[in-house]
Amino acid sequence: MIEFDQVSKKYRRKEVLEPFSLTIREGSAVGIVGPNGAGKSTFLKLVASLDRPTSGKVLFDGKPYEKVVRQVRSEIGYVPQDIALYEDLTVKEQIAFWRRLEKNKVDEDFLEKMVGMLRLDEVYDQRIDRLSGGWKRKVNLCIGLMRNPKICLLDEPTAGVDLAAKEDILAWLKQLHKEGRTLVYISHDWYELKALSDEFLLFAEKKPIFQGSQGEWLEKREELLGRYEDDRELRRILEFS
Amino acid sequence: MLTYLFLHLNKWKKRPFLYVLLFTFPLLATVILYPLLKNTADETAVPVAIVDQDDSGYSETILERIGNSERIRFTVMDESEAEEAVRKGSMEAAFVLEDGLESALNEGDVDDVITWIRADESLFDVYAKEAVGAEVMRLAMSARAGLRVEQEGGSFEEAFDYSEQYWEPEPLFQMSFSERSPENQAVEAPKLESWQVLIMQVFFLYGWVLAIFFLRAVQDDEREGRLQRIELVQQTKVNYFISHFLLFGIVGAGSFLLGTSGLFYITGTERELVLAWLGRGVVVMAVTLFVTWCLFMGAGRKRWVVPVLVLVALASFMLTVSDTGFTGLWPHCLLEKGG
Repeated sequence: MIEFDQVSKKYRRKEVLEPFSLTIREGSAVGIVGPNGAGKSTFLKLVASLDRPTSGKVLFDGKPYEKVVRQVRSEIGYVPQDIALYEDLTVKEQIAFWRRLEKNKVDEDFLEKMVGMLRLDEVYDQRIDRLSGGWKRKVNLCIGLMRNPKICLLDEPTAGVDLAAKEDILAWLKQLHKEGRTLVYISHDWYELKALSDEFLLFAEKKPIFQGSQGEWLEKREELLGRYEDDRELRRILEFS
Repeated sequence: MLTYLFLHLNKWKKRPFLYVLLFTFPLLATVILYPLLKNTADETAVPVAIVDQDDSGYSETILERIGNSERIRFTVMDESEAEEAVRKGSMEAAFVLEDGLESALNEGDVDDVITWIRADESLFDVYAKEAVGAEVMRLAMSARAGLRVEQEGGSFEEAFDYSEQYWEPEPLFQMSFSERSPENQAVEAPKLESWQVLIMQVFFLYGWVLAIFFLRAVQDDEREGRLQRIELVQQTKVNYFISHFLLFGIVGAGSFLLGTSGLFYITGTERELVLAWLGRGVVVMAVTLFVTWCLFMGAGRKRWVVPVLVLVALASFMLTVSDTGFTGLWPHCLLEKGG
């Protein structure tokens, strides 16, 4: 379980997240949605221990992050929004490189299964810079999750990919959630969010303004629409849900 | 470190010629350009014409010995050709070894055995005149010694050869020159030629700049999110930075050492000098790269840092070579002081 207790984040003097508290339950699938600049990616980096809060505490199973950072990092798999891969390497070389760097023992069966589910064996010998956006996203996902993590953090894992690639990715993420892993992911696609999430987290005005199940979301939607009628981008998100 | 080394080798092998060329450029430049520089030096030797009217053993010896001089390039001609060549300026001067040279030298007579033909425009023929004159004098002295011994009942040839041995490999009686500078009153140790020091400075600049450009790989990893991923996968960034610092050093110092070693090998530089200069070069390069790395890290690895560091490297080279007085602790200045 991951808890945020009055956490805020500033970059120099600019506040990107105002103080907030929330909890991510073990085994849940949390879909994060919100307008650009609402603090979604910063929140995900705080969960991943790649950034530190300016104030407040992040707790992992009740212990402060700074005391258990190695344990946190060994249990987390992070898929960034950027295609964080070496473009000159082939898919095979890429997987080999990241596997060599990996501190955790890589579960070969899990890796093989993921490569099969994402159909990466079809492009094994191709260089990353010669692959389409969809394939790159799939390799990015594979590298981020190759350690078979308990908590999967994904920042727009299907952004800009074609339908076939999206189906492969969603099928794999559903499989991971079914096996009991915690999923926390950012998306702008309601179809994807509804298909995967058992909980939504809505960010606006630099903090989470809603956390709850799909049913609770439907109950609160009208109220939120009324409260944020001046925020065009947020209104559009709520209307499309 | 090996994982990162293999990563970069894997990247480099996609464009092997480019990266091998970048790394070995100083060495290749030395190998390719040195013969050209040497030919240029040969072409700057003083061109003279020799007219051998005596056609004797002595005149042949003179020609052979002058031919060994790197600063004289001679061509054998007849007298009219030689005069024409000097008049046209294709030869700086002509020397006529007069008929009867051998018999005159055997009698110890050095007057009127050589005629020196020159034009008003001739400038550098004096050195050739000294060289030809020295050889004639040498033969005359040996012949005079042989003649004297023969008069006492001994062998001319034995005395001649005995006298000759005092000229090999260098004349027995030589002026001993010692150089002195205002800063250093003591006799100085052997030095590198100034052009060798300049080329070494260029190689140092090249290695330094090449290493600075390697830093862009670190910037790219950070900007494109790979460093964050590495931080999660390895649970720390320390290994990444240590490995990349070592690779940065290998790129810079490796290229510099390869080029400089090639330069010393091709020019046949004395071992003592090679060790002294390479040793100093490695120390100065290591300190320079360490300071460069610290500046890079201290400045937050921002994009502007690389061009600024390149400018610093260029300033170090330019200010040291132009000797404007703003030298101080520039790495190139520290390298030059090694001499």
